This record gives sequence, C-alpha cells and structure tokens, in this order.
Amino acid sequence: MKRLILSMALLLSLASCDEALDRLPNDSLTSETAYRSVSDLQLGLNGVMISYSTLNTITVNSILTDEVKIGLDNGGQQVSLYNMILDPQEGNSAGIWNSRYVAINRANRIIAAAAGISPAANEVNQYNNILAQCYFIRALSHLDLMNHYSPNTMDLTGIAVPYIDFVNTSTQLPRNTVAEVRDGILASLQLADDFLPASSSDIYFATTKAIEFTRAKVKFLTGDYTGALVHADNLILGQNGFTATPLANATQYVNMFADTDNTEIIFKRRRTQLEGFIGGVWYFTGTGGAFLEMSNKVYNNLPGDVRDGVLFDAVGSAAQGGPANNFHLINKYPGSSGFLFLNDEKVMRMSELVLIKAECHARLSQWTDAADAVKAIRDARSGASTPVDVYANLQQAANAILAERFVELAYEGHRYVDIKRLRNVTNVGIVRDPADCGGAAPCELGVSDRRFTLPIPQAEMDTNANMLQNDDY
Amino acid sequence: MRSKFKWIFTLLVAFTMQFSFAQQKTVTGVVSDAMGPLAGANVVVKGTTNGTTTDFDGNYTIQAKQGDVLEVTYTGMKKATVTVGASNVVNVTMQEDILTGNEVVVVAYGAEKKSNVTSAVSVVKAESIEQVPIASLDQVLQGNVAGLQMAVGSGQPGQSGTIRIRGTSTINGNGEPLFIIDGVPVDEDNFRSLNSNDIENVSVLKDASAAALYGSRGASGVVIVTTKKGKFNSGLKVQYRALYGVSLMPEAQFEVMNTRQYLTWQRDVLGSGYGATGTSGSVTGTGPLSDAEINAIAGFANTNWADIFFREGTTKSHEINLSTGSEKARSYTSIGYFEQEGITQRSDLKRFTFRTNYDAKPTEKFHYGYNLTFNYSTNNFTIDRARGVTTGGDLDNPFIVPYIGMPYQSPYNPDGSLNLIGTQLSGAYGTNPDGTQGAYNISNANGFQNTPYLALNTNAFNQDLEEEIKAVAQLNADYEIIKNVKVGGAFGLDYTNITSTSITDPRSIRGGITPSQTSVLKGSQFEGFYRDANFNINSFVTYANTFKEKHDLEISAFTEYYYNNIQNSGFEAYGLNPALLGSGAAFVDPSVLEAGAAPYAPFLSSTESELGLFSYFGVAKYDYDNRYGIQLSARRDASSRFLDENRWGTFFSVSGKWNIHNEKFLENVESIDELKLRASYGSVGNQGVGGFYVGYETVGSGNGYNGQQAYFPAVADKNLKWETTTQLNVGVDFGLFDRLTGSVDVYDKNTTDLFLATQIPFTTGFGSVTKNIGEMSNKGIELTLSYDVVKTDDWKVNINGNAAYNKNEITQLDGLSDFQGTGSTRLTVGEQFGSYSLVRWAGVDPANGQPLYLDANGNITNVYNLAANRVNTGKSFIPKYTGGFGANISYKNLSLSSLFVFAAEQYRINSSFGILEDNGLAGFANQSVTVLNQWQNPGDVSAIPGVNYTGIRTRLDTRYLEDASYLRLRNVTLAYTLDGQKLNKAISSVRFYLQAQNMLTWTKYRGFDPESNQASNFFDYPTPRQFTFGLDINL
Repeated sequence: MKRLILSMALLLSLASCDEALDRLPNDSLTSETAYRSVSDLQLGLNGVMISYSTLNTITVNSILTDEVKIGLDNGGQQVSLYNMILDPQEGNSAGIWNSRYVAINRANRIIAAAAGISPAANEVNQYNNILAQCYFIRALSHLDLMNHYSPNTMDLTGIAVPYIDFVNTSTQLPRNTVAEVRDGILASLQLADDFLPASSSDIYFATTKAIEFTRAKVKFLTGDYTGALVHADNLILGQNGFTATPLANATQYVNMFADTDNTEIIFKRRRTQLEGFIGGVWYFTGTGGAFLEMSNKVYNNLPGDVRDGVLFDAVGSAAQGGPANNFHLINKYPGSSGFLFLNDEKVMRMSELVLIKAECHARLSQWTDAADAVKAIRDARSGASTPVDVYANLQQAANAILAERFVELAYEGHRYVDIKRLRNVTNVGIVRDPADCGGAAPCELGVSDRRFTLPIPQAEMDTNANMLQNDDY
Repeated sequence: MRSKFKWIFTLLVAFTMQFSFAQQKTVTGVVSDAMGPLAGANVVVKGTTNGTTTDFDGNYTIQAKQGDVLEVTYTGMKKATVTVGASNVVNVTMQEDILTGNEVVVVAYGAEKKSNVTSAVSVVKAESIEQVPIASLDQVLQGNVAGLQMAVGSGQPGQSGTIRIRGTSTINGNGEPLFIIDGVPVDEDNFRSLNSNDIENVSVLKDASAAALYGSRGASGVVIVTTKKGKFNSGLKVQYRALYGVSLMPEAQFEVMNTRQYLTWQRDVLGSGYGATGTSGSVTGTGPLSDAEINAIAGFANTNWADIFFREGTTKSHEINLSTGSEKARSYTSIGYFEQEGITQRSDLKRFTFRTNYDAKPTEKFHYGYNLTFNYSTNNFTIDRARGVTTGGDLDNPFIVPYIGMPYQSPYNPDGSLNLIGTQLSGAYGTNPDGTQGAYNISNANGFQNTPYLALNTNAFNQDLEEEIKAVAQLNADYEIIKNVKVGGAFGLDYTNITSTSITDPRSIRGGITPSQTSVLKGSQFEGFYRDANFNINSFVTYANTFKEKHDLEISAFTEYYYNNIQNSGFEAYGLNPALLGSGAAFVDPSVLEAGAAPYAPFLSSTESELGLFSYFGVAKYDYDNRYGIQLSARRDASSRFLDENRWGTFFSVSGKWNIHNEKFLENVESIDELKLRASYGSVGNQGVGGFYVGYETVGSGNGYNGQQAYFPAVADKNLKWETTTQLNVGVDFGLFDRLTGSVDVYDKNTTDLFLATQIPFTTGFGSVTKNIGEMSNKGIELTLSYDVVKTDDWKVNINGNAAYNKNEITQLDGLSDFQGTGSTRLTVGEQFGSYSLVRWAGVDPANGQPLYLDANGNITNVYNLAANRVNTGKSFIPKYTGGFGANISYKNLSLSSLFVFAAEQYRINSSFGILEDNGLAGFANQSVTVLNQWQNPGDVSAIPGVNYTGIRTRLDTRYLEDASYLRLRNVTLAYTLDGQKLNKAISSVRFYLQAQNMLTWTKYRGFDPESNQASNFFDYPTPRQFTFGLDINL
C-alpha cells in the first residue's frame, strides 16, 4: 500500500503545473499592461502616425486615371487597376478603407488609454501633444475616406462613411451622412487645436497650420466655399493670427521634391528606409525598372516651367530611347538620403491650398479671384509674371483649375478625386491619351460611371450587415 | 531447408505413429526462428497443464508421450504444433506471424498484439522506408497507408511535405498529424536531418481511440515512429549500406516556343517585342525582323532553358549499423552519411547521422532504456517558393526560366562558358553607337529581359544555407513496484538548432542593388539563429493482470507536461568586402553615412516564444479470451495558448473489438485465418493555432513613425478554446485462405469549434480575428488489401494496394455569411474545404477574340464580374481519392517490387502556365506554343483570346483551374540477395538493388509536377526523378 501511495504521489508530482501554463508573451505586451505612462502613449502615437499614409491614395489616384501608362518593365504589376477593373475585391482601393480605419482605431485607442493616465507637470505638454496628434489623424483619415467613398461630398444629406470616435471592437456601424462626417472632422480638428501646445511647428506632425489647412479642405469638399476661403486665406495671406506661408520659388520647388526644402510644406508624412519607398508605386525600387511610366498625356501637357523636370526624368528616359521610344520615367520621387525613390509624402502643401482657393472663388462665380489664384501658381513655377486667365463661366474656370492641378499635383494622390469632383462641371470623365491605352486598357471613364466612387470593400460588406454598398457595385 | 526438414519430419511421424505405444518419455529440442534460437518460448503439451519454457539457447525438456501434440508459442510468432513421434528430439522452427494477428503493433504509449488492437492503426514496415533516396521521412510514407495523403511543394532535398490523415479536419489550425519518434513528440515539418534507415516501423493512428492518448495534439492523427533496437540474446550483427544515384528533371507537360516561332509570332501577331521591332535589351532595331534575320538569329541561339537550369544531381549514402543483445541488455547503433544534390544549381543536402538505442532489464522488475539520435545537416537552397521568402515570381528563381526565358538568348559566352551576366539583347549591357557592347547597366541586369542570366548569376554567386543540429533523445524507465503494478516515466527532448547564412555577393547582379543602387558598398549578409527545444515529461502507473486465464485487464493513469521554447534571432549586415565574404570582417561600419543617411544600418532581431501543455489521462483495457476487447480513455488537457477557463479541454474515447475467428463456430472454417470487427468513438483536441499567444490581446512593438519605436495593438478573441474532433470508426480486418489479408474502415469525423481567422468589419481597425467558428465533417472509406498470388519456395508473387475516399464538407459557419474568404478558394457551407469559387471561363468569342465567361445563371457574358458571377466549382486542391498499389515478385534471391501512387479529384490553379498565355508579358517572356493558335481574325475558333486581351490571367476564373490528378510510379526496386558465405565466411549476405523513384507520371496537368501542397502553382521546384543503385552487406 505504501508503494502504491508512493507511485500515486509520483504521478501527481507533475500535476501542479498550472503556473507552467501561464506563458505570457516575451516579445510583446498585452493590452492590459501596455499603456501606463506618457512615454507609453508616445510609443502608441508613433504607431498611430505611421499608420496614416497617402501611399494608397496616391496609387489609386495615379493608376486608375490618366497619369500613367504601362511601363516597359511591367510584368503584370497593377495592370488590373490600370485596366480600371474596380470592384469590391480590388485590393488597392480596399487598402484605402482598411488603412484609414486602422489609423482611426489606433488613434481612438490612444485617446482612450490617455484618459487613464495623469501626466506629471513636466509631461503635460507631451501628453497634450499626443492627444492633439491623435485627433488630427482621426480627422484627416475620415476626410480621405469621405473624399473617396462618398458618391458626392457636396450632398450634405448623402451617404459618406462611418464616423468613429470611440474604440470600436465589434459594432457593425452604418454609414453616416456627409454632414455628420464633416461635423465630426471639424470637432476632431477643434480638439486637436485645443490640445496642441502653442510651440508646435514640426511639419512632420500636426500644427495649427495643418489643422487650418484641413478645415479649409473639409469645408471646400462639402460645399462651404465661403468658410473654406477664410481658412485658406488665413494661411495664404497670413491673417487671424497666422503667418503667411509662401509658394516655393523654382529652386525651392525642385528641392522640395528632394526633401531638402520645406518652404511651402504644411504637413509632410515622413518616410524612412524602414518602410516601402514611395517610388514603389510605379517602380521596382530595388532594380529601378519602371512597371508604370508617365503617361503621354502628362508628358504632352508639361507646362514648360520648373515642373517639367520635377515631373519627367529626361536623363533616365533617354537611356531607353526616351519619348521617341515611348519611354517616359516619372521623376517626382527622385529619392533622398542616398536612397532612390525614398521621399516623404507631401500631404499638404500651399499650392494645393491656393488651387482650393481658386476653385472656391470659381464656385462662388468670383472669376477674377479664381484666375488670380491660378496665376499665382504659374508665376511661382515659372519665376515670371504669366498672363492671367479670363473665365466666363464655371466650366471654363474648372477646366483651367483642373489642368493646373494636373501638372502641379500629379502623382500626389489628387487626380482621381479631382476629376470625380469636377466631372459634372467639366462634363468630362477620365480621358487617356490614345498612346496610353487600348486593348484591355480603357481610354475613357464616362462621367457617370460608378467607378468614380470607390466600392466599399467586399470584406466590410461581408461582415457588416449595416453597411451600404455604393451604387452599381 | 527448413520446410524440407519439416516435411520429412512429418512423414517420419506418420510412419512411426501406428507402431508406437503411449509411453511417457523425455522429449528435448530446440525452438528457433529464422534468426536463431528463441529464449523464453512456451512449450505445452496440448490439453494439459504440462508446460515449460525454453532456456537461453532455445533448449527445452518436457515429459510427453508419443502422439502428444506440443504447442509452442512465442510473441510475434505463429503458434507451432508438433506431434511427438518416436524420436526423443523435437526441434521446432517458428514462423513470424503476419496473418493471424499476433503481430505486435506499436500504439500510443506502448505496443499491443495486433489481435488486441481495437482501433484503426496502419503499419508501415522498415522495408518500405529503408534505403529510399528521399531525405525526408514523411515523404517516404506516400502511398503506403490508406487514408494518409502526402504532398510536397518542392523537390529540394530534405523538403518536408504536408500530410493529411483522413482529409482536413481544421481550417486554420495545425492539420498535420502529430509525429512521435520513440515516445518523443517532434516537429512534424522537419525530418531532413533524420536517417530513415534507422526506422523499424511506423504506426499511423487514424481514429479517435488510437489518437486519444495523444489527445492534446492528435486531432489530425498520429504517426508513431519506432526506431530499430537490438534483440536480446543475439550476437553482434553488423551491416554496411550504400547508395549511389542521380536525380533528373521531370518531364515537362507543356511546350514553349522556339526562337523561330517566338520571333515570327511577335512580328506577325503580337506587333511588339524583338520580332516586331528588332529592339531587344539595348539593341535598337529598325523595324520588323525579316525571315532571313529570324533564321540567322535562330541559328545562333535556340535555347531550351530547361536544359540549362536542370542538372543531374547525385545522391550518395553510406551507413554502418551494429546491433547486439545479451540476456539483459540490447542496443542498436548506426552512423551514416547522406549527400544529395537537387536538380538545379546550389540546391543540396548533406548530413551526418548518428543513433544509439539501448534497452536493459537488469532485474525482472526493472527496465530502462534510452534512444538518442544526434545529427548535423547542411542544406543549400536556391530560390524556391516553398522557402516562403519568395512568391515564385522572382526573376532569379531558376524555375521561372524554363517558362519565360527567351529562346533567342544564348546561355553561353563566346568562349563557351555559361554567361552569368547577360547580353546587349537582354539589356545587361548597353550598346554603343557602333553596335559594340557598351557599359554594364545594373538596372537592366535586374530587369525582366535579363531573367535567365539573373537566375544563373544568383545561383552562381549568392548563398542561402541552413546548418542544422538536430537531436532527439528519450530516457525511459519502469519498475514493477508491487505485483502487477508498474510505475514509470519518460523524459523526451526534440532539439533543433538552425543557423542560416544568406549572402548576397556584392559582385552579383542582385548585390549591385543591395542595399541600394546608389550605395558605395554593396552586398548583404544575413545570419539567423533558430533554436526550437521541445521537452516532454510523462509518468504513469499501470495495473495489469489476467484473471482466470481469460480476463485480461489493464488500467493506466498518466500525467504529461510538454514545454516548447523557440528562440530566433538574426542580423543582416549591408555593404561587404568581397574578399572576406562570409566573415564579419567583411562588414562595413554600419554608422558610415552617405548623403546624410546610414545605408549600411543593419537589421537586427531577437524573439522568444514558449508553449506549455499539461495533461492527465487514464486508459482502461479489458480483453476476454482474445475474443472481445474494450478500451476506454479519458483525458484533461491544458494549453498555455488559451486563457483562464478556456485553457482546459476534456476528451474521451471508447473502442471495442471482436475477434470473430476465435469463436467456436469458426473453429473449423479453414479458409478464415482472421476476422476481426472493430469500432471506436471518441474525441480529440487541437490547440495548434496561430502563434503561441493567440489568446492574448497583445500590444506589439516595432518600427513606428519617423523610424521611432512604436506600439501596435492587436485583437484577440479571449474566449478562444480547444477545437474538437469527434470520430466514429468501424473497421474489419480479415485474412482468408492463407493468402488474402486486408482491412476495411469507414469513418465519420466531425470537427466543432473550428479555428477560423474570422473576418470582422475593417471599421474596427482589424481585418480578422481567430475564433472558434463552425463545423466540418469528413466521411470516408479506406481499403487495404494484400494477396499472395504465388507462394512457392522459389516464386513469390504478392500484389497489394490501398485506396481511400474522403468527402469533406463544411457543415456550418455559425451564422457568418455562408462563405468566407476572398481568394480563389472559399469556405462555403455545404462545400468541401479548399473548394475553388471562381467565375466560369467560357472560352473566346470567335467574332472578336474577347474572353467570355458564364454569369451566375450560366449565361454567356463578356463581362468579368467576380462579385456577381463567382460560383462554387466543387473542385478542391485536396484530393478525394488517394492511395497506392504495387506488386512484390521474387524468384529465389531475385526480387522486384513496385509502388504506384495516385491522387484523383484534385485540382489546382496553374498560374505558371497562365504567364505563358498572357500576351501582355510576351515582350520579355516566352509563350506557350498554344498561343500560336490564338484568335487572330473574326471567325477564328480558339481557346486563347486575341493579343489585346492581356493581363486577364490573374482573374479568378476557371481558365487555369486544371485537373492535377495523377498516377505515378513512385518506386520500383530490383534486388538480388547473395548468400555471403560464398564470398567470405564473415559475410552472411549481400544485397544489391536498383531503384527508380517517380520514374513515370501520368497526368493532364500542364507543368513539371502535378504534386503540390499549394492551391496554385507559381514556378515551384518540381519533384525529381531518381535512379539509384544500392548495396547492403550483412556481417
């Protein structure tokens, strides 16, 4: 019997292993323990900021439109998007939705975590800055979403996207109206403004100017042109407590795209070599081969000023026969810090704001003001006084503004939403140069095509019963 | 000899019988088997209790009368009966028992007589495993076990395959069986360092009852590998074995264009590329090539790139093993060297293996032993999709070149050596105005047109090496602490240490753009350190007794703790001095700045993860008179993957058997040697999902904004728990006419609480979270047969085979929308797992050459609309029918054996072939000859659209969903055994053999290899054909 007890004891000797089963992660924290101090929140903010990127909006706005053509080195890369195959499964457009909601979720999580932390006196500035940045990213992300997924941002009662200002873990949220999203964005911007320490001037983060820029843009997109003009002029003219930010001169302009000049930058999204290079939208960044090239349409519309060299890589193109051989390389992201194709994302720069100003004036039938704003851009880029346009109606003004945006903001993520916004004024959809299309690649996208609004991703439709798909998808 | 003796002896008995008297006398003799005398055999006079056992030398002495029948029994041998004749000496030779179920089968935590086994277990013996020139044990099992499907995704030497037993019973969980080697659970995905020749047998546990004792990890079946042991009371045996052979490329089931076809087609149909413009690489043409020019080019180069990239790889193997046994101890030791080259450059495996097994029973009550294998292997890799670091589409993947390499490019330099850089035509060099070769262009050298040279260059210069130390060790002991009660325990270790070195040579084409094209110094070196240590400790108490001779009872209780620790660290340094390649001395100081940045900043990593499993379980077995048997088991398991109360799972099983052949009513039915009915029902758990911390809502750290450290949240379902598979199995084992043996099993398996990476709305910030969702069922039937067609002393002909049918179905998804997933395959309620959901391809419109599809209603449309028109095809990449069959024919010492394997009703998307018909790539990629018949003019009837319809190969349609069913002559062996005595007294036998592996394959699949464990092919490393010569010398 003794032996039996002994053997049972031996058997049970291993039974007290429960603590051996508590294997907490070694390489990560858990949500219960991660945020305990302001410096933890700062690490969280670094995760919020990196999740906001315009790379996917640049991709869709560039490839779906008339900015590019299939490159000599294309092995199938992005051909489907170039062929305007846009459905709820399309990955690039789904990426815009997904990544913006990742940014929103992360921002909301840090905002929620911050509520449980009381900063010491010497941490208050940092703490407030973290909150301000989170609110700013939340606002900006919703703005991008609305711009791409709302059928019409000028229809205030029309559908936009879910506006989320809390940590949503499982709720199946419906789409809010344009007005609701606009109000949400403005509220987030106000919170960002309130928390932002007075000294903030780092263009790689939210500043009062970046907040003001965003206000101008959200009001502009939602049809409040008068309101938008106030915010735009605050930065253009330097009023209401703001200093004026000028447009870059020719040298500054070239340097801006090499990331060595920030004269007209309001907000830049920093990219380091630890991330994918921005030039990777069009190039194999390792080998330098271009699977997408500048379209003949852009090439044929080069404005004859400093922008020509910024847009078009004449030297690189010549190596393969250049334009004569239908070979056009994009030069907007020439690289920096010794890395080809590594550049920051110029999310907000003054020329866009000046062109927003032009369009606001045009929408308000203020033709001269609109023409002056367009002239301001051309003057800065050519370094000389250019003739002023004369517009007799909105269509003329819209055509001129759209053409200016085409060469000023090419490859910066604007083209698709610009055409979308103005197509009912210009009565023109996407029209590619005949040399850029044919076969499976459409030469046109009609004004009323469903594809001027991105489809809600299939994964969202499958999992969110309250989600409404855009028309005709 | 023996049978002759027996015959004479029987005759003798018959003659003497009638003249003898019933008189008690002393009978002596020796009991032996083929290997020699048997110690401990029981000798009983039939119908009495008068019995004895043989001594150490197999001798026995017993009192018997003439006419008495002696019954001799010994575990694993057929019962021998001999009638005592006039002689006082009765020698008995016993035959190994294969037919009547006294065979010993290795089962969970022990071995059992085959007749006592109550569950579905298949056994593969050493003969099917030994000396096969395949370095990964799991691959060798293909075709040998009914219901075990093995597919491998690469022909790299040492590559591990994917095994599915009775279909797939999990979605995102680990669906491979648990591998146990000598009691130690080991990594099921890495066998390259283990010597298959050491294996005595492999038991495959297929049903719930068999696997129940491995309940925490046995949901997808269990494969128990038992290595060789010495034999007690045997002398020293020494064996030397050698193999030498070659591996060859498989036959391509597709054809690409030759130079003339390609250039003419480019000129006349495509309207672009070299043929149409005269421009290729840096050579600028003046317009379409003339026929004469094309002829001249074709005369200069008409390259079949498959010939350049595939080589004859050699295999060499040497092994010496020793086994010995005394009365109280036995041991087996082997040492081996194996070397195998793959069928393309820089793909190889070399390994040293060492094993020693030792068993001792110093007293009647105490037994202990150990098994130890310690191995070292080096594995060189080429670019291989199965490595996971490439999609297959990399231009330096050697397996892309036979498809897309342009035939007009010559592989050779003018001096006849292989061109490792490229040409003007491929763009690697510029062209001077006078047409002579210009400067090297690093960007174009990395471009599409330079693909063949880039692949040759990477193979020649760069390195991807893994060096592995693998040890599996087990120490076990048991002690009969009181009569009929044993206590014991075992400690097991599976230790794997992999050191990886990947070097991108600064002088290579890839090196020229590493770390970047603009950096002054080039190249990179990655070194990784990976350590995977698994510890397994169990202890047990067993009570076993036999009551009234007929009631066998055994009750055991176990506890087990398993701990797995994985450490992984590495660095990648950039900027190397080519003179000191491979050494840290080659590294440039990483803080060097160029243009304000640090291009040589190294990449560093270090991670550690841990898993703990704890279990306690019990099993009770009862057997009545070797007729009825029942086994019950129950267990509780905990996994550190799950939180709190979800940590524990409870599983049980019950099984029974009825040996009908032992019933009285069959006693006189000579034709039935064995007839056994088995049934089992039970549940087994699966916790193998995601990372080790899948239940925790983690906040990870990584590179954040502006290169700063950052935190990243993750989501988890904190209610995640065990996935449970419940299985009912009914089987029959039979042996008839002393010739036909076999078994039939039917099963019904149902998995609940499936692990599923469930999609959640992205508005939550996350795309999916692993949850327990839904149910899946697998139903099937398995048949195994073996028939001795001829059984004479000289001739033996045996045919055998196995086949399995499995029907998988997803039975529900817990109210999720009725399909999940956006790729080519979808989970759909009512459909099988891995079922392709695609738009149906409807060919080409003869009027305009555009592609046509069927819409959801089956109407023809020219619009490809995935969301609206995808339908379930009912086709899956997992085969419904699998099996193997073959014949073993021997005449005297000559034998021929064969094994055919097949997989039917299996489909795969042939993305590799799709490239060959995508005219959008035809400017730099060769095309299939089928393109020559593509649509060109209205009215043309063709399967291939007109040249304008490019880029449509990636659409999720059925165009490239191909039937990947196959029949393959997996192995054929011709062997001759020579009586060694004729050569030298010291040699007992010599065996020579010739083997062919994968010699013939029948398939419709348009590629190199229909076999794969992937849902699509993209320039995968195909399985080679192998021819080997082998030699065994037994001393």
